[in-house]
Amino acid sequence: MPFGAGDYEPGSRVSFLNDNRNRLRTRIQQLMSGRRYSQVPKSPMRRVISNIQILAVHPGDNGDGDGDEYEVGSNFVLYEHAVQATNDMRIWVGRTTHRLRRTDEGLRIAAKKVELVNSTSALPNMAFII
Amino acid sequence: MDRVDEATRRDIEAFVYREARLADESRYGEWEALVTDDMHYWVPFGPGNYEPGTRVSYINDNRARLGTRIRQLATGIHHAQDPPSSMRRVVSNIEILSTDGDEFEVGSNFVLYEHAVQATGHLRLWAGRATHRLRHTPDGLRMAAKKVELVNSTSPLPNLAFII
Amino acid sequence: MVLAAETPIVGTGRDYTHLVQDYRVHGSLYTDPSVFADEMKHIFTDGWVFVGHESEIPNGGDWVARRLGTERVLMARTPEGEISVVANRCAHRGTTLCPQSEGNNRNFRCPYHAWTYALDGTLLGAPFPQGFRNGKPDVRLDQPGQIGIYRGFVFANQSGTAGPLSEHLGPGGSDLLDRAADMSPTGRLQLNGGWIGQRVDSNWKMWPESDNDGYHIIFAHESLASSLLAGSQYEDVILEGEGRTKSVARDYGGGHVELDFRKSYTTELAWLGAPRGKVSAYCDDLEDAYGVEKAKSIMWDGPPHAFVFPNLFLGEMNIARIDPLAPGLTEHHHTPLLVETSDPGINRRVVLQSEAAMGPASFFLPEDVVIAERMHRAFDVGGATDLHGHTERGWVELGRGIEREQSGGGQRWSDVTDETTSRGFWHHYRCVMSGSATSGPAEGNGAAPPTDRRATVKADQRRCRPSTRPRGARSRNSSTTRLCSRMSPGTKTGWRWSPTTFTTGCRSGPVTTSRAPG
Repeated sequence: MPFGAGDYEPGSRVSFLNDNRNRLRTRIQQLMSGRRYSQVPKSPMRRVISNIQILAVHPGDNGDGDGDEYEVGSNFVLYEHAVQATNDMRIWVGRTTHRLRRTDEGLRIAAKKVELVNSTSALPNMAFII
Repeated sequence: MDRVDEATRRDIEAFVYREARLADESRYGEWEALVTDDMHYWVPFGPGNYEPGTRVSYINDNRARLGTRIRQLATGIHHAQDPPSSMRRVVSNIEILSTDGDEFEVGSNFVLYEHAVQATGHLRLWAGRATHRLRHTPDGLRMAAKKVELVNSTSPLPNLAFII
Repeated sequence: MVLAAETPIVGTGRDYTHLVQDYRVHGSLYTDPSVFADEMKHIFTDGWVFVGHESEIPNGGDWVARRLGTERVLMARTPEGEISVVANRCAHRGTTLCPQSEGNNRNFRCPYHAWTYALDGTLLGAPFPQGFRNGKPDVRLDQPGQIGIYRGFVFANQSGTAGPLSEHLGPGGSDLLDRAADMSPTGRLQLNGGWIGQRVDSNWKMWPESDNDGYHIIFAHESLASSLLAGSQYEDVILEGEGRTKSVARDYGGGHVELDFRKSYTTELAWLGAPRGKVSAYCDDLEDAYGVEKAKSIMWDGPPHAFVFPNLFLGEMNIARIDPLAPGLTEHHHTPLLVETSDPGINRRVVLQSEAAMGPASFFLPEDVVIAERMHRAFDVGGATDLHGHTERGWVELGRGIEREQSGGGQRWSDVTDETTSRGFWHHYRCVMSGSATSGPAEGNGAAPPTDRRATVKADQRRCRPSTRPRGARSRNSSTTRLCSRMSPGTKTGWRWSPTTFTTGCRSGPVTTSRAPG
């Protein structure tokens, strides 16, 4: 989740999130610890997703479909009831770009980029998985 | 999820959009024509994972009570919807969750903007998830149940006097 | 700028004996922030306030989050079974201890520095003891000066100076709570059906008024009357007209008031909208518990429709509490009045009645909400400065029926459409806000209603006095039925909601639209 438009190399400047697989695992373990107070209790939320488009297809090495990757863009509005302290209804708006990979188990997420409309503002807690 | 053919999927999506449009425009008679005789209309408190009636819900209407609700809206003196709120629903993420014979369980997310013109003039925002149970009938698809789980249903809510 | 030749009201020193008169109150009482601040002190800090019910927290460690006016508190049950009420605020740095609305915990642990409190608010410990004199900070969670419990209803008085709860309730308030609790064959209510809150952009005092106004029902709620189909007894109520109903508006003093429908019921269980055959086990339980005579009386009378000052509404088969958040913002929370009984069906009926009568999507309350919001705006917008500055205009008329009101035995009563209930609330309000400890019983004050309203002086007004026991003679023989019972249960869905699956083949039979529910 970049700061501003996601047009820079992650790591070359600070982002809201820039997780590799390990750090994402840590993030999820923290959420599941029961002591991640910024998500205790968990926020009830719903995403309204639209404008789903397949932007590009990158064939896998074997040419048999396995390992094919799809770059998929979509827009979203997320409504979060921030029940931990303020009880505000928070609105998150942005664009998601998924890279989906076809595997033996079906499609899997190889990358997810979330560019918020207001990412250059001071944001409230975003302690859930967006 | 069971797979359904594309034509059925299109019919189901069209039904969900039509139902939303009729509700948006407070066309309650036409909306009511979409429901079956055993319609159940439920807006639970918190997640709808309890048996309706075992604890209090915002709405837990059988067909008869839903009929009363719509007659009340149609009286023209239902002050809480007089004048009716101007509304639009943005519906997305329509998924057919399961099928069973001639019935389909359909999930979708929505955001509803309501201009509460009756007193405060606030633009109110309602967001949540709808779960429809749709049934094939000789007249086409009809709604046998609708459950609406609001994101903020555990907060005190303003008037919810329209059909959500 | 020339002001009208009336007492200017400036700053915080409001003259409540002028703003609240016997037959009218001033609109600034709803909108003025300094009035709200005075209320938080005189009513919600110095007086008794309803918090919750014992049955909400049956087990040690159970707690619910509540408000005492604007103060956030937790009502908890200790492992020893005692009820405690403590501030929801760490005594260290003020962090909210429990952001949820309810839960069960062995203790309250602050996430900030892990200071840990017992459920009664005692500090159990704080990490790294060497930094504290005596190894532990000498603090505890703030708590009200006193709490009191009557028939399971828990009240708190923040200041601790309000005198005993029994004095606050008086015989009138105690009787109302008795009648609510006696609906349960065990005498114990089970308020565990969930609370639903409604947010209202109006002042809180419009709720004691609206919830207990017998005059508005056939007008503001006419849309429901017209929606129930012909043959409904509701129609009779609408057409009954002034003076035809046997229902009575009562003022017990102390701000406790009632719309007393008892005389109007023409059948037993009319308040439930169901014949005895539908809830026979409940009726048997009542007879076993109370004997035939008292059980009969309970079955005929039903639960009260009444208000216990300052924030508890006994709404027949609902219990509601009113939380003032700001001059123009109120929360109205309700829960169904569930009973302990072997009857399998009555609590389901009560939940369905509750869903019909109260809450933001119900058939009744949305009208009251929108009307309260319209009232509030009428007093709040534009005219606020003028209303706060002087009192030549912007009054609320509450004089209906004042000339035909009767009194005696510690109470006043009049036709159910008379504003006796609102006057009862405001009379006590005036006494409390102007510094009198109690408004006393609601007997006659010996003063004739003023004929020249502008000439009203304080000496003519009903006075604040001490309490005596009221009387409650009555009979029942009219045809009026109270309204909520029209909304009887009917929902039978054979379909169990689940997140991922559903079952069919259990559709309930067709229910035609040509009949009203019930």
